[in-house]
Parts: sequence; structure tokens; C-alpha cells
Amino acid sequence: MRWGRAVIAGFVFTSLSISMLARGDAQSPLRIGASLPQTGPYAGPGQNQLRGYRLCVKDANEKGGVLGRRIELIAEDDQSKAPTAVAIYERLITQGKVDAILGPYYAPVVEAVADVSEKHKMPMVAPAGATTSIHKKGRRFVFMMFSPGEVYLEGLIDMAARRGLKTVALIHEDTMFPRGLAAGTLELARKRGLSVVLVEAYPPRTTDFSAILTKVRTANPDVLAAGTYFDDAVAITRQLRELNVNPKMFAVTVGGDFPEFYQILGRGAEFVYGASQWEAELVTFRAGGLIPLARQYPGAREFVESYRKEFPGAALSYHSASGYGGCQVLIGAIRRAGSLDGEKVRDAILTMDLYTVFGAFKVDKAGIQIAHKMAMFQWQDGKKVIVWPEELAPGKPRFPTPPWSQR
Amino acid sequence: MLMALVVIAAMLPFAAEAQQARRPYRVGVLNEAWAANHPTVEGLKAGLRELGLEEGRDVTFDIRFTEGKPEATSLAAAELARAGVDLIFTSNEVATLAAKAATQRIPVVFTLVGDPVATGIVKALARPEANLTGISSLTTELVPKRLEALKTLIPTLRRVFAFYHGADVPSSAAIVRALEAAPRLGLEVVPRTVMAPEQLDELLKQLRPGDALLAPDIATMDIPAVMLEVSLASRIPAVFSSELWVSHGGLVSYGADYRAQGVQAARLVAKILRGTRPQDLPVEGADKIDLAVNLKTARLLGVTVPRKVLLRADLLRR
Repeated sequence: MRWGRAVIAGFVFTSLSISMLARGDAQSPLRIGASLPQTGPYAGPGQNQLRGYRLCVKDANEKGGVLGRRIELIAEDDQSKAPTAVAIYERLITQGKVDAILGPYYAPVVEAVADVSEKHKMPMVAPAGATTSIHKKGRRFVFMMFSPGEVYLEGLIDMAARRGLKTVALIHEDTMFPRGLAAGTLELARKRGLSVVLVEAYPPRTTDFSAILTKVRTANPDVLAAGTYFDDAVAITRQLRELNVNPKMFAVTVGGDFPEFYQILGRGAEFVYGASQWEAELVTFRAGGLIPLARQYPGAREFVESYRKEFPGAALSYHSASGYGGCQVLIGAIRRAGSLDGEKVRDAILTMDLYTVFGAFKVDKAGIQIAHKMAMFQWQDGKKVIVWPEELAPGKPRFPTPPWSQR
Repeated sequence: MLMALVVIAAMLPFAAEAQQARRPYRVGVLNEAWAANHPTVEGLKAGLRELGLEEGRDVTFDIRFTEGKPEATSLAAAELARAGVDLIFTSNEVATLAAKAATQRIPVVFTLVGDPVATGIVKALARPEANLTGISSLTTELVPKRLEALKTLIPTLRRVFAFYHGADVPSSAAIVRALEAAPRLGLEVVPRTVMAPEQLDELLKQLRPGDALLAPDIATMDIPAVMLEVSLASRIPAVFSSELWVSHGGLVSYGADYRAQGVQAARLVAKILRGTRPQDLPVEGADKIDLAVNLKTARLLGVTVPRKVLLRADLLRR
């Protein structure tokens, strides 16, 4: 009996000290750490993602923060270098500088940092990871916002199959994300009865695609899909013209969606299809021309407006929206968990089934995104016109792509 | 090889001439959507393609959509008539009546018309006797079934609000059917006419937990979309006229599929383009009528879907 009382006394003491601690914490801000390329080759999308984080934190603070604390964002420059990013996250976490983290940009960096988050059991929502292999190595603390690379070109294959096209060639950068993309696209093509006539991988930083594109010309596919980042997307499009390669549909993945793609290529970018995770105008779409989609992007209109106000003249891309959305997920999960405990926040993320400004969010047990949907656009008269999903897209693909001699 | 080239070269002018001989048919399209991709239009295109009429090569479309504004419809119909299209393809009564008023000469093929005789679009279903024929969606007749579906899902349901645009004749006809059917189903149907968007916001405040909504089949002033929003945000069950709404969050629908009506109408369109007179083509009843249930929305609203509905439903969204 006496023993029981001692336990109770001990328990009271402990809970008192916890509540005192919590009170102490209530005065200090809750710090979220991240590293993003602010210089280097991926600074563009990286900066957009960071702007998303910043705006989300600002908006959350205006609504009272989380767990009664103000949120502070600590973001450092990793120049898209994995070792740099690993060192930054490691330092932020071990030196107690942050209470939570958000993911970096660029798949190889996300994977390297995922090991850090895993080691410290600190959940990491990764707004820029679309590589499923990252999630297939037993990691428990990394969560995907993007639709995975495997389904990036689902729209291209669907449009091609609906138009009776028969053959596909696939070229891709020989790195993690484009590899997954290639595997997924091949699978999608087979399922839809298209035969794959050529698959070619090229090393990063390739600038001369003439050998590969000559093979493509010989294979003469109906559809050419390229698993690209930005520079290769531009170079391939340019060299297709030089070598007079004329598929009926040609799509790139990352890079084709940047305004710079058209600025550099001009009319040469016409008819090129691209994949996009998110476009600001999606919010204005109506399913079947009747049912507004705005509900699937709650707050997205306001997000676009305040983004333009907060960062005048800055680029707004799906990285911005995904950054904002990823931060919404993290803060929402902390709120649901009522705690910063890694396991509890992780459990909260795993049960989430909701819409952010970026669209649907739900992950499977491995942290792979299963709810978000891709869109496909085509460059038409200098504009990115969303052409897929066809049920939602008011724009229609200009099909088939005419030979270069007739453009 | 050389011979073959000469032969091909000699044939080319003839091929070009043959193509020029028949310019593509021009189909004018008139509906109340907010974009060119209304499902009836998508269905029409798919149906025509199956019948050998390829978009661009054999047929082109001049699509006018009026964004839920009935007052814009007459003007758009007159423009299509003036543009000299070969046929006007309409969706719903407002568009069809506007096309009828705009031309007695250009054939009109309609879809999404609930009761073409009652609304004065045709004299008789078997012999339309004018330049119009099309697909009757039977939507007015199906209103009691729609209420029944709602009641089957929620046996405790007592009160159903029906908001509709006051000037929509077919919506008024639907309300009459709903009021007739209500006592038999143990329901009170509360009709509320809306003439302006602000009014709708006011009327929505009358909703109480436990109520349900009957959405109109006409999207004037965006009323069904607003009802869908309210249904999901305030967790008020709502029944719609077609599956499209259920696939985007509506709880339940009973009625003719929009896209299927377009596909069905394509047969009439093709016949008319190839020379048959519309008055010789009887109005057809929609051939695809579905009961659709959104199980995810059911969970959100706390509705337990009875087994008999699960077995009967044509489409279940999970």
C-alpha cells in the first residue's frame, strides 16, 4: 500500500515536471529544419520548394502555430549535394537546433537524408521525392508527397493507347528517379498493349544525344518518352529537330514544365508533352465541365494569391505547392499526434487521408504516395495547356505532332 | 521503284480532290457547362468515331458553353444558327429550346432532356415532326426513384430540401413528381426556388442535421455544385441525377449517364449528317440508367449502406 502511494507520488511528480517542461517549451518556438539548393543546378525548383515552406510556416503562425508554439524555419543551402545535405541535417538534429524536419530537393539527396531521419527517428515529409526505391529499403520515417515516378507518364500512355498508337521508345537519364520512371512507364505501356521498341539510358550531364536519337529514328516509334531533368529535356528536344526525328507524340518529364523550357526552345517546344504534379490552373477546372475541382485543392487559390504577394516575380511551380503541402502535412501530423514524438507523428502521417493545396495526400505503409494525381500538359502556342486527365482537361492535345518540316 | 513513284505522284491530285469533295461536317454544340468537355460531348465524339466519323477529318465541332447562365443560351444558339452549322447538338431543355427557337431548318439532336413532349420540344416521341430529335433522359420520371434511393440508404430520413432555379421549367416538373412521391416514402419534400446566388446562401441556412438534399438536373447558377459542396462540408446527404456527381463526392445518384447519352445520340447525329431527316427518327429513351453510390462519402456521412443497395447498385465508388 505504501509502495503504491510512492508510485502515485512519483507519477504525480513526473507529470508535474512534464507539464512544467511543456510550459517552458511553450515560450520557445518550434523549429523545423531543412536544406535546399539555394545555389547550383537545382536551385530553381529548390527555391520554389523553400518558398512553399516559408509561406506555410507564415500562414500556420498566423493561425496560432502548433502545440501552442510559434514555428520557425531554419533552411540551409546544400547545393543539391548529398554529403552537404546529410551534414546539415545531422548537425541540425544532433545539436538540438530543430524539433522537426522537412525534406530536401532532388531524389539522391532525399535518399541520403532519409538515412539521417531514420537514424534519429524523426519523420521526414519529402515534398520532392518521387522515387519508390527510397521507400523499399525498410525505412519507416520518410513520406512522399509527389505521385511516384512510375506513374509520371500514365497520361502519355493513356492518350497514346486511346489514339490507337502501337509503339513506344523510352530514353532516360541513368539515375535513380528516371530509372523508376522508366520501369513504371514500361509497365504501363505493356498493360495498354503498346510495344516497347527501344529503351536507352544515358549518363547524367549528357549533352550530345545524337547517337541515342539516331537509334530512336531507326526504331521509328509512335511515341517517344524521355525521363529527363531540365538541361537534357532541352537538349533532346533541340536535337530531335536537328536529326529530324518525328514521333507522333513526344514527352519529357521534369524540366518541360518550366517556363524556361519554352523561353529557350521557342516554337521548337510546341507540341511537346510534359508531366506535371500540379498547376495553379487545376483549381479552376471542372470535372466534365461541371463539377469544380477546387475542393480537391483546399486553400490553393489563396495559396497562389499570397505566394505572388509574398514573393513578387518569383517562379511558382509544383515544387512550391508541394513544399507548402508537405509542410501542411507535417504540421497537421504534429497537431494530431499532440506531440513531437517521432513515432507518434509517424503514426499520424500514416493515418492521414486529406487534401492539401497540392491535392490529395495518402501514403501506404512504406510512405509511398497513393492518392495524389498527375496531370499532363502540351505546349500550345507558348502556353502549357493541360490535356490530361481528359475527363478534367478542357484543352485537347494537338495530335498527331506534325513532322518538323511542317512546323 | 521509279514506276511506283510515278503512279503515286499521279494519284495524289485525285486523292486531294476526293478529300476536298466532302468537307468535314460542322456540328454546333450548345450546353450549360463551364468548359468544352461536357460528358455528353465527349460521348458524342467517341460515338461518332465508332461510326467512322473522325474529329478533324470528317467532322468538326463548334462548342458553345454558357457557364450555367440561361440568358446566354439564346444568344449562343442564334450564333450557331448564323454560323451555318450542319447540325446542333444540345444538352438539357434550356439549350434545346434555345436551339429550337433559333432555327427551324438546321437539325437539332438533344440529350439530357427529361420530358421532351411536356416541355414542348417535340410533338410526339415516335414522330418528332420538326427539325428535332434526340435522347430523353427520363430524369423527371426518375425523381421518385431518386428519393427512394435516399430513403433506402437513410431509413430515418424525414426531410429533403430541393433547391432549383425558379425559371427552369423541367426542375418545376421534377418538384411536382417529388411532392407526389413524398408521402408514400414517409418524406417531407421542401422545394425552394432560387433566383440569385446570394439567395441560395440564405436558403442553405435552413438546413438542419438529419436533412437531405435533392439536387436539380440542370446546373443553372451552379446550384448542383453548390449542393455538392454543402453536402460534403456540412455532412448532409444528397442525391443527384447522374453518376458523374457521385464519382466526385455525391452520396448517391439514380439516372441516365451523361456520357452514355452522348454516345447514344451519336447514332442519330450520324444518320442525320448522312441524310436522314430528324422528323423520321423517333426520340429514344436513355439506354443506360444507373444507381451509383459513393462508399467513401457514405463513411464520411456515417451512412451504413444496406446490403440490398450494395447488390443492386451499378456503380460503387470506394
